[in-house]
Amino acid sequence: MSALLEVSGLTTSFLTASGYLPAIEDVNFAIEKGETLGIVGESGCGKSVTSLSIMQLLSSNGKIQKGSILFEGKQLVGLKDTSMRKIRGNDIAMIFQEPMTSLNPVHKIGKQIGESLRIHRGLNKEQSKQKAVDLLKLVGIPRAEDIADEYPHRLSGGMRQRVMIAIAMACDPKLLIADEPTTALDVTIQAQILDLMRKLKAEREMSIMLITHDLGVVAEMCDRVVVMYAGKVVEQGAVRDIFRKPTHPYTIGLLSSIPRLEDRQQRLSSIPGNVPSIEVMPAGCRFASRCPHATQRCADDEPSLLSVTDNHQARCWLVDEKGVAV
Amino acid sequence: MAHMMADSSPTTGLKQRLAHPPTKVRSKFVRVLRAYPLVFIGGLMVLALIFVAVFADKLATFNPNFQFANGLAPDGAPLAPNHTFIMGTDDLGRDVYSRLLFGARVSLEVGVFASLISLFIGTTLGIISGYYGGFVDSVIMRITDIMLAFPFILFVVALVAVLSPSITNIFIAIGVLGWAVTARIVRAEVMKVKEFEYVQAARALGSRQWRILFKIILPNIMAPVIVLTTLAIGNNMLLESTLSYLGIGVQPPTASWGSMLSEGQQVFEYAPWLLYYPGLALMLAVLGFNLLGDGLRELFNPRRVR
Repeated sequence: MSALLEVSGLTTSFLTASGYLPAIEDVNFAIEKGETLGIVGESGCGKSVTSLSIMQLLSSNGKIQKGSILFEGKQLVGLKDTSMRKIRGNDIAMIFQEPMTSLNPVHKIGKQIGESLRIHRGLNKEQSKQKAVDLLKLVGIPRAEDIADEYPHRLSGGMRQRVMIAIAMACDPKLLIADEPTTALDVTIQAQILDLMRKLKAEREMSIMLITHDLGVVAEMCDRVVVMYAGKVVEQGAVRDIFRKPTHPYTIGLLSSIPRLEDRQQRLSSIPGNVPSIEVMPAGCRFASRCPHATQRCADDEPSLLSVTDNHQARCWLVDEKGVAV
Repeated sequence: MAHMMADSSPTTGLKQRLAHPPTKVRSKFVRVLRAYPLVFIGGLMVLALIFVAVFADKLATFNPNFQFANGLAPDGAPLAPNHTFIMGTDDLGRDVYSRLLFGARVSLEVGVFASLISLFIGTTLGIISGYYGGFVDSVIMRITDIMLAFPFILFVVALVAVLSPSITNIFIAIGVLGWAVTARIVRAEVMKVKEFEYVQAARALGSRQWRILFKIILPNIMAPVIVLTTLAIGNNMLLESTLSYLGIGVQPPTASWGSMLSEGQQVFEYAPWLLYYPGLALMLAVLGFNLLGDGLRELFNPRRVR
């Protein structure tokens, strides 16, 4: 199987008062066909910048400085906007975090779902309306005909996220980028939305790039995980390996900050400190200042992604010393 | 929304009744009318004005510019309202009622066309300015500042003087000079709207630039623009009468409410009806547009219609 999406050496920078500073550096990962890849990390670690770089939708002060993004073997970096537009919404679709603001309040639901069909498939109004109703049924919205004629403010958050998924599914994309799709929803609705995404993925043989900070969602949805910290990939591997044998101290920290049913804990553990800001990024390991295992070597040199096993890498010197960390 | 799910639930198969049996759903028109009666009143006033302006030649009893020999008292004073001249005559013996009807035509024409010109220029510049920002924005906004700082009447006076006064030139002058406020409001709205996630979502769907600007952003900023334009029609009607009053607007003998006021002012002491009727007409027309504008603001906001 060749990879559907291959990101290598991706560095995206933003113009700040002190010149261009990288928000993500040397990011590498691949998504296979039909695979769900989770991208995990706390706020500001570069998850969303990665997805916007893939879509080529960076704001005007951001640019991709290095690296390549291959989608079905086609280079997306530097692709002309006219060609990129044919990919957006058609081959790669995106759903956003805030269902309350992601829908245009002045257009009816049906019209918004039909939008990409009119753009990419040249459907007329009636055809796209009919297809919109089908899509609403697909995402499990009751009374699809009525809802298609409603404005977004009549729908709840969960319903709107279903509509967003319907919009994304309209052109049968090969890759769905979901940027924190369930963060704004309450837990029962989260489960429904995740179920829906899983069902659609299986039906349509679609790949999903799931951006989240919720490891529970990752465990439930993903085949492989990329853990990001301060703009770099710090650990990647199969979900099973990451959860059973987390290697990077940051991943370990993330996992131990989840409450567990089996053992009674007085307090949840947390990772002390904050992500360093991009203006004062340390030269060595970026996690060193918060890491319980940090040594002088960590402060001096930055480790590369070191192999733990064949499909499991971590950016940590502990791997180098012991083979397996901690 | 229709209330249709009355019979059996698809999952449990149990028969269920509705807790709140559906009542008759009123049409949207009726609901809006009940919620915002002012739209209705304002709309009627505007409709009446349009009707009068369109059918002025059918409704008028006389030629508005004809100086009747029997239209003046023996001592040369204008006639008070009577059976022949229902709103009296002016100091040249012309029928005030007929002049008022034809004046509505001029007022409405200038008000509407000037506002449309302002709307077009202001919206275009405002969208470009707000969406692209940066240098383009600075240039457009500085021009706007200059337009707002310049004494408006003086500017129009100069422009009309260059163009020579005629109805067309008056509304062009008012329209071309009046876009600054529209541009500012549109710019502010665009800057707010363009940050919403649905604009990003539209880009992620592969929409072209023009689609984002005109189909995504424009409809979202229309509510304040429509209100502004409706209010501007009233304002521009006032401005036209100001210009005519100053003598640089519509040229005699063409009737306009402003010129009627200006002429009537000289004989006001013994012929007050020469000010009452055009003044009242002007006030009602502007009031109508203002009520309509306020009402439309509610009506065009999909979130507020009950």
